[in-house]
Amino acid sequence: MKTDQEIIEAIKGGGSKGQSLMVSRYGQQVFAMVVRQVGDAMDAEELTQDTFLRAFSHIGSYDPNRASLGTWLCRIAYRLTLDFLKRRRPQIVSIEDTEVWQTDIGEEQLAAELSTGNEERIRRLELLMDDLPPDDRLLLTLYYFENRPLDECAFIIDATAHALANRLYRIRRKLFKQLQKYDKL
Amino acid sequence: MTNYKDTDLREALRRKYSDTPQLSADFADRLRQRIEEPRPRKKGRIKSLPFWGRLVGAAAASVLLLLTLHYYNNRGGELKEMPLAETQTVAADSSSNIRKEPMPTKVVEVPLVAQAKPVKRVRRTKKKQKVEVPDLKKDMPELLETEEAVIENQAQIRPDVPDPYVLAAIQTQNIRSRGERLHNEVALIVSNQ
Repeated sequence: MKTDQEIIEAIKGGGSKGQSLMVSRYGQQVFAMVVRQVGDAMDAEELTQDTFLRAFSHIGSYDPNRASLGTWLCRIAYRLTLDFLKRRRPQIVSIEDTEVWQTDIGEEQLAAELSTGNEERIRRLELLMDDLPPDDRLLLTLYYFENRPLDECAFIIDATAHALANRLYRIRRKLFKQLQKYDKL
Repeated sequence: MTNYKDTDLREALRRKYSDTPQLSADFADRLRQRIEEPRPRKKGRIKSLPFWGRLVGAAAASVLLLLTLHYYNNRGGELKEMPLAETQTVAADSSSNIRKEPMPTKVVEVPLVAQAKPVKRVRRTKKKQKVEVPDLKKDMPELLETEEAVIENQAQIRPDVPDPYVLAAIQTQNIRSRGERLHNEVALIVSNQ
């Protein structure tokens, strides 16, 4: 079993064995992240291939002190996926994005509202995910589904952890407002 | 560091992405194929000219423009003369027409104040009156003399291009003769009635 550092050295040396090792170790992880956003498996495989091709050609820029090899690959995949999604469909700005929030919700209240265990709410949240912009949905996936720490998410998305925390708060508040709207109906 | 629990959100995401598809078995082979296939060569960009090249180009374009303008200015001078020649030619043609027109036949004095008379219809069966054709040399010798003299003079100066003053005189005379002819015809009709 080779370490990430050994794989990187092998790729830098020009051998194809290092590339194959990297693909076999991280291929599924990158593909899973991409396919969750893209939906279509063929497109996701194409984007995964692009991710690895870019990683092989830019392996010299990888810094093991900043992030693990898998996180670095996810960072590349994130950018490619977002570019792909922006090309495929124009950005849809929902009404809630332009709406001025009249009432501010506290963090505790928000956390409580999103942790009710209510089956109806969970199903609605599942549906509301599709209406989110791709970058917001990807952030939720990285944080809540893949359980990545905020620092790692920040590295993938190329933002500071503080900015990402604020963004997460806004997304959660948006979802809560949508849930409230459903409750009133 | 912030740690959001949000169990509803986590559960919703877990359900949504629970059945993530697997990467196809031949993924590595296809990737290998893509790595080994020759990359399409990028189309070479057209290199922009250096500064001196642009300068030379601009100078050449300016010279070309000046030469073109100079050429057209000279040609324009030639063109300016052309309409006059054309006018003279047309006038010459019209002068030939003028000479062919019949001259007035009879001079009849018409009373200045026309008397109001009941209008009678002219019978169509009425015989046409013979109009005496006067001898032009006898009646208006000065006119003929003038025309001939002018034309002869003009022919001496330049046979192909008539003098515009001569043409103007001929045209004036022609207008006068037409007026007289019309006057005569009117007088003839009035006298017949």
